[in-house]
Amino acid sequence: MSWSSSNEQARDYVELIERCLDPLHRTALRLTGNPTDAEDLVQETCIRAWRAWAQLREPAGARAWFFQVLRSAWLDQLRKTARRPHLVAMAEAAPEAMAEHAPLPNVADAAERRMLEQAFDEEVLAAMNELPEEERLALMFQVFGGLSYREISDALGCPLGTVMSRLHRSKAWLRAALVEYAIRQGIIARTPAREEGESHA
Amino acid sequence: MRKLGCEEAGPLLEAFEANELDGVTSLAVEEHLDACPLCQQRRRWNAEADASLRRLAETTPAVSSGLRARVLAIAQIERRVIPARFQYAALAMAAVIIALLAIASLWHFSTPDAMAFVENHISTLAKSEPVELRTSDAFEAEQWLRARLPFAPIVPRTPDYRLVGARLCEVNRARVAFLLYERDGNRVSCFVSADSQTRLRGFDATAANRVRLGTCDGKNVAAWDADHSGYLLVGDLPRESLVAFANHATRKIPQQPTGL
Repeated sequence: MSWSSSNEQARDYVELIERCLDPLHRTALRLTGNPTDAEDLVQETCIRAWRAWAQLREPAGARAWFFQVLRSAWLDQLRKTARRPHLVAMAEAAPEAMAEHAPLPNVADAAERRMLEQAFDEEVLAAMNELPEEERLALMFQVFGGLSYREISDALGCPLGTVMSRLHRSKAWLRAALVEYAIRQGIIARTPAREEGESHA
Repeated sequence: MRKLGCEEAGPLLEAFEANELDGVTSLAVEEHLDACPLCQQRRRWNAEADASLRRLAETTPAVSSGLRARVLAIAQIERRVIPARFQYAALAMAAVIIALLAIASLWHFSTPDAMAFVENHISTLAKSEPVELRTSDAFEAEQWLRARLPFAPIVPRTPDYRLVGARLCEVNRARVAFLLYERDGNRVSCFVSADSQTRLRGFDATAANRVRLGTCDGKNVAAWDADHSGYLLVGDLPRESLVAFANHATRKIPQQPTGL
């Protein structure tokens, strides 16, 4: 990207930010949990991105870069509001109920299925907010930002393998939340615990 | 292809679903899934979680038009903001310039100027007897000076100027030899020191033979280095005359026979 004039810079910025604005906003909304904070976070992200525009070498990496700036702005915001970000990864074994291995019964009735989905959505959202911050960011960047593993790796500044394990742990956590919910609601029965990691192949 | 166990395939399930695995690993996971009811159930629950996440993503509101407008205006409002890379470069450049200016002014103000010699010239000529040793013999003046100074000044010989005499003085905290010359009623002071005087402040030109020229308080000054000494000439003469004096002075001086 050349920086021959401020007009060209502004045009490049507008073009790239427009493509990323909705994913950034969706991620910000889910991170902050309310529209006002989300708008502030997106605006702060965009201001920082513009001021550091020269650091962006390749327009192809713009999406990951915007999310990197978003992460930085979000963590700063957490520090300012004294909400200590929970950055440490969870223990490898998420509190998965062994009942997860029980099959989810097919709910044929559409209305019933819709209610179940709605309940699952709420459980997933609540479980997502309990994740350690870096795992939560990895998951949100994937789900709401639409970032690939490589882009998440760039945005979080961590190796691809770390992204894989963070997403694995996040999904295991969500899965466990759904299973617990299903057991509480009597949708499935708790089955005797089986050894985690046991090979069946 | 190596078969995977649950402990290997399990952590790869999410990447498998997201099509982020290479072909070989993807096939291995697929093969494991075909044979493992436990991982099939995990996959099923993962699919439920993924479906929930998709629904959440779809129902999350897009950016408002107001925020969109504000964000797009940032580049216009802050167009004149210099990109950070250039800000740092500019700051670094400014710091270097300030440091250089500081060093230059430190050097400038710590360097004595030729004015001290001009003042000495004026005050000495105002005395009723400006020299301690009155002699027109350059060799005698040299002997007299060598007996009193820690260096051996060579007294310039020039046919156009007559040596009046010599004295000792202190200029810019250094002991120097003062020689007085005369020509057609014009008196010229020549200071000889152990150190070069050509780097003093007050010079603005350089003539042949590396003679530095300047003007202080209306008096022309010339300085040059020769014979391990620094020479500085002050007088009411045009610069060319001072240069001509210096050119004579820098010529090889015939050795005085010893024992005289």
